[in-house]
Amino acid sequence: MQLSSANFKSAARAALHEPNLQAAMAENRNFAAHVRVQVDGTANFQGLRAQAKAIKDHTLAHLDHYLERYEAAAIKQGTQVHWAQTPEQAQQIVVDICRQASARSVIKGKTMIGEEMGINDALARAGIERYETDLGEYILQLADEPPSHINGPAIHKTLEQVQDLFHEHHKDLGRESFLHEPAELLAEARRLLRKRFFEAEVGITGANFLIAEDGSHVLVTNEGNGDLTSLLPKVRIVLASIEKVLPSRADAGVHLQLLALSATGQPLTSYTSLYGGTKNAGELDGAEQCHVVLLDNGRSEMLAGEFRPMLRCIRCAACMDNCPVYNWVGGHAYGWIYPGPMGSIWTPQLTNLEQTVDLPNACTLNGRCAEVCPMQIPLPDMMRVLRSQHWQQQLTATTTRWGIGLWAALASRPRLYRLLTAMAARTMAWAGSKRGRLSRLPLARGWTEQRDMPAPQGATFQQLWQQRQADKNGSEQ
Amino acid sequence: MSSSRQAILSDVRKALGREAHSVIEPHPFKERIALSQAGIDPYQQFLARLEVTGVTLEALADISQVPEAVAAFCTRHQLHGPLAVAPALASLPWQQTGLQTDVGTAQGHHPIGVAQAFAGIAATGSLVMLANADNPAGLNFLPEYHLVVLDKSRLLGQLDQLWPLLSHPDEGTAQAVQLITGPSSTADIGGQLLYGAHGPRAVHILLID
Repeated sequence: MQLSSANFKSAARAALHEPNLQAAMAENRNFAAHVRVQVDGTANFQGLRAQAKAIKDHTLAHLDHYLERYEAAAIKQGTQVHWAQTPEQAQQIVVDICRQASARSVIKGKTMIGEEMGINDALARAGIERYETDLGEYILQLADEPPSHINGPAIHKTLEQVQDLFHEHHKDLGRESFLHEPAELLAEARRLLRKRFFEAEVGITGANFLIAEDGSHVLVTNEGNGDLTSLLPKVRIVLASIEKVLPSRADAGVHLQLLALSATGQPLTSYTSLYGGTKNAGELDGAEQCHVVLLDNGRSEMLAGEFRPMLRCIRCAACMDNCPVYNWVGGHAYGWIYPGPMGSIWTPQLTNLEQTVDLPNACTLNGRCAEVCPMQIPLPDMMRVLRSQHWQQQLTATTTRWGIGLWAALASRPRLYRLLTAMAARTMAWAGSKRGRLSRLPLARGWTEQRDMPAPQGATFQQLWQQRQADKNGSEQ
Repeated sequence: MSSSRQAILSDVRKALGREAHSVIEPHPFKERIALSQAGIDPYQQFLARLEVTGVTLEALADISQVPEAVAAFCTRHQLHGPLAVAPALASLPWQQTGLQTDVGTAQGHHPIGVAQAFAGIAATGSLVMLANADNPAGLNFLPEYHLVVLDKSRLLGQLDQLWPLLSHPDEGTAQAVQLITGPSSTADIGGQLLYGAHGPRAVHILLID
């Protein structure tokens, strides 16, 4: 997907005035509130959270070891492990496997690593037909849009929009009546996709975790599409990234419960499957070939520095579901595949700093994302690191730079600072003396459009502080 | 691409500031935390979880009653067409019911799949299915109705109790371990929860007491 994060501001502004999107985001806020109730009602959630973090920190500190162990165990199970440093290498690996399998069509489950490596375009260029099987991804394939959420890719689409899309695209398949009921729409998609499951030569899925102990990969879905994609075609391709490895099945168990709870409030998703290689002799179902692609794409670099905690991310989406920015502007405004708070850290790391300056600056630093993150990733701290990187590399917007420079000049001259703030306070008190509030302020129209500023009353903070110190000293003597 | 492999592993080691094959610190935990509620009978907890996930359960005194119960289920839901039955359950008295049974995996035309669970997990309300020659995985996903035989003695309290059982040498190798916690569901159409997305619209447990 083309990086368009540089347009964040205009895209966000447009999103706020898009009625369909606003209706859909209101729906997401309700859902997020429901999930929080489930999480808060889980007695040992905090213990689970602390353990999951410690397990992942240990794994990342020995990532080379666990990757090698995973690879050896996977090969033993008949899986072929492919390593890709870049998205282009990964695309080539997948296309080559499809060609070797003489694949005309592939069925695909939801995979964010697939989005990251641009697999959809690569398959199209290779002339291989692709059918998305996750219902949300299927809707987006019809709409020709990227996902706007890492778990619910089509959460930005309302029921009415899905009705229209199905009507338009399923006309050619002989349907005449307009379907209104969600259950009817689902039945239609199920029927159409069922055929594709049986036809496809290759099935492509993501992986939520890789397990070093036994070389298996874990797949989490509620629809069961991931399992059908894994089981029915002869060739299975699993797209993963290097930080998804965990030492053991027991470790995966800890993370799986945390993931399901944080993502949807379920104790486990409907289908949580551990796949270990190809089908054994005498088995009726399963793939004859199993390929796992391990993508790096900048992750090994992240391991070295301040962004290592981001590699703990289990993609539950709690950070975006609880973000006051994401929950109003939606995912597309962020301009790449990972939106919301986690995306504001991932995107600069996996693409570049220059075109993603707006993302960490769109953050209000309210800290909610870090509070809800099951892996305790210090997202706001990392936003601050990015902002200081912008400053050092002179990427900060000119007006901001100028403003910060002016403030720094003032703040380092205490007398001047006191004088000016006292003047400003008196002016504001005078301007708002009638109503006790100010409905307009110079340079802050965006702020005062939504609310009034209370007019300053009495002394400034510094005067009050001095008074307090003096009183304290007086009472001590 | 072995050169990519070398490059990635070397980049990882460089980032971690270590040479190849350095000493590994021991894993920080012996015991894993699992979701559970102290002082609650696992069976009662399992039933409570099933209420939430939308899975139904009927208790049978003996496994030989399974075919009869499946026949009654078909009548209740007005289901016709052949049953796909796991080889693990092939020896049950299916003939008595008059149902047409295909032993093996499910195909697209089977409305019902009957399979045997390896275990159940009370804390999460999950069924544990091992995909192998005796229990083909297609049974769990292709039919609209998934009927699962679970021996009550195989009901575990927490997820964490499952892993040692899987590593037991008697279990052989399974191509997949599938934890099933509810029917196939989706909320992708306008945020409404719907059952039967790609897999079963209903999961029914036949619990052998």
